[in-house]
Amino acid sequence: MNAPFDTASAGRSLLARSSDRPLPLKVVDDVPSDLANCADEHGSLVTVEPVDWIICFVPGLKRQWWHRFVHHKHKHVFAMRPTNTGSWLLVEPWWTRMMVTILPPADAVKFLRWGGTGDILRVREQVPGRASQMRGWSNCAVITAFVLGRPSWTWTPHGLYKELLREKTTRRENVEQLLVDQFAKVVSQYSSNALSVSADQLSLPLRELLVIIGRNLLETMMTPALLEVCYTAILEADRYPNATRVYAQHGPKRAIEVLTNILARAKQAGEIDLADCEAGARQFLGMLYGNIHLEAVLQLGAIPTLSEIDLRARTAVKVFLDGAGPDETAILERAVLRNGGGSLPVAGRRAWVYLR
Amino acid sequence: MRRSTSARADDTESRQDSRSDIVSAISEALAHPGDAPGGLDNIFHRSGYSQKDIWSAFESIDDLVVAVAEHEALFISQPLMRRVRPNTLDDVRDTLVAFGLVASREYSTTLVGFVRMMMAEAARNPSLKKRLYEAGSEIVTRRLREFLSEANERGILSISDAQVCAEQLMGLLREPLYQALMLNPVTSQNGTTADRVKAGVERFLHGCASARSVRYERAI
Repeated sequence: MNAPFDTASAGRSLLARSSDRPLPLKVVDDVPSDLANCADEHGSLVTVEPVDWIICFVPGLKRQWWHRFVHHKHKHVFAMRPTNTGSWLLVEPWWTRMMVTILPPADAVKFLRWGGTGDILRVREQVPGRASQMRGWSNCAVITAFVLGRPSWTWTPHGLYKELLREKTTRRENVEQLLVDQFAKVVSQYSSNALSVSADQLSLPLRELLVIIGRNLLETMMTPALLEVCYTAILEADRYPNATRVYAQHGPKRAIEVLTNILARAKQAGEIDLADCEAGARQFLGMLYGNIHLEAVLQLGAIPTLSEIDLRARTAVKVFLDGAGPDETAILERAVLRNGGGSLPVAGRRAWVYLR
Repeated sequence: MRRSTSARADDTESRQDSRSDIVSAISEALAHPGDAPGGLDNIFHRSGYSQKDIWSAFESIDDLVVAVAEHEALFISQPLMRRVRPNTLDDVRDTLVAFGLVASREYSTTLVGFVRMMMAEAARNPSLKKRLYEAGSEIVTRRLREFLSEANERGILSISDAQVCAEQLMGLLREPLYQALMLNPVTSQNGTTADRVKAGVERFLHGCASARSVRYERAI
């Protein structure tokens, strides 16, 4: 399993380093002694566990004169790694530079689809590695082998592909499964945070509980990382339906489940009159979404502030529980006034009966 | 030789007719995507019009898709425009149910393809996305807001923010769109679409708090 930017494992490494072995007191000129002394056994300031890279061996996007000399599907190679927030780290050697960047999921899918036209391997990097800077001409295969810490002598992407495939831990990957894994991890993490309800909160009156859940849900839905994942899930629904399904299962469906349970409890306690709690949960979620979710997914306009989110959650709860119709007091007052203080007209009585 | 004014008027009218026919055909193609991918070329192909026909009536892709968005907005908001000034709660309910039925049908058919096309085209042309949203969804929300404001001013509804309420009702009716975009296969739900729309509108008008809980709220 991949563990990029895994703060938990980094934290464990840090603890292990500080407690397992004494720190040498070597002072280097021009470097603060605290920095020099915290370098690990490999000379690194931080000790990070080896992680998996997704290595993509791809055909060229544009025809080049030298393509005839290399494998038809492995003319270029680059490395990617998913992060915990839905984005991907890309390391792509160019002829003129090294492209190292963070890609939002929709853009990462483009690179993964390119990878899917060739071969995709999951490879664990070696730390400290056995590659060498003395290796010479740094083409994409050589640089990728260097990223992985491999002492490879191959000059071609296909040569590196064969070498990596011979390693026992190397695994083949496909684009949809990579997206499924990442969507499940990212969306379930956000959902759990948004939908966790403490025992104390469960004992609150329904109105207050719905405001808390509604606010948490809206705030989470408006997280840029989750909006990016949602955008990608919709955009790629035809191509990678399983990834979109996983997004729905861990995101909106999970929210509907939790809301359904809350409404069912409230119904049992006589707080609400609701024939179908699941339908009620869907309606409440729809009211929370309003237009702002679609606008945010489509990246139109600014993301609402926390106070706007709070206002929207409160308004949605009010309309969901009380409706937009006038309360009976107002109807009665109007009807009585219209009638000169006499008995209610038939329409007014009907509204009174209907409302309650 | 200069053409007569009536000949030019005929040309303009026929161009308008052909634009309108093409927009209807494209909307129809979006509503019935089948298994074909949602790219513009496929949509044009399924509309039955050649690219030549389309480009003789429209100046650009942007011009065409904005016309489709306007067509959809007009179609969905027709029930709201038919009864601009409601007199009773029954008027409001009937209008919102009629509006909800049209919106719900469009959100589960044409607009699914439309949103996908919008997202795909947005990568090519980000400003188009905003134009489409303004020509479609924003227009419908505005008409709904105007309708709710009118009902509020006439004392039929009691709402503090007509814009937020309009957005909430739109969100409630948009559920089939989310279902189609994300929940594939679409989750089966109890009752027909009409039942769900009616229940949604009733919830919007009256809420679901029981008399007991409302009394409790008042007491505190």
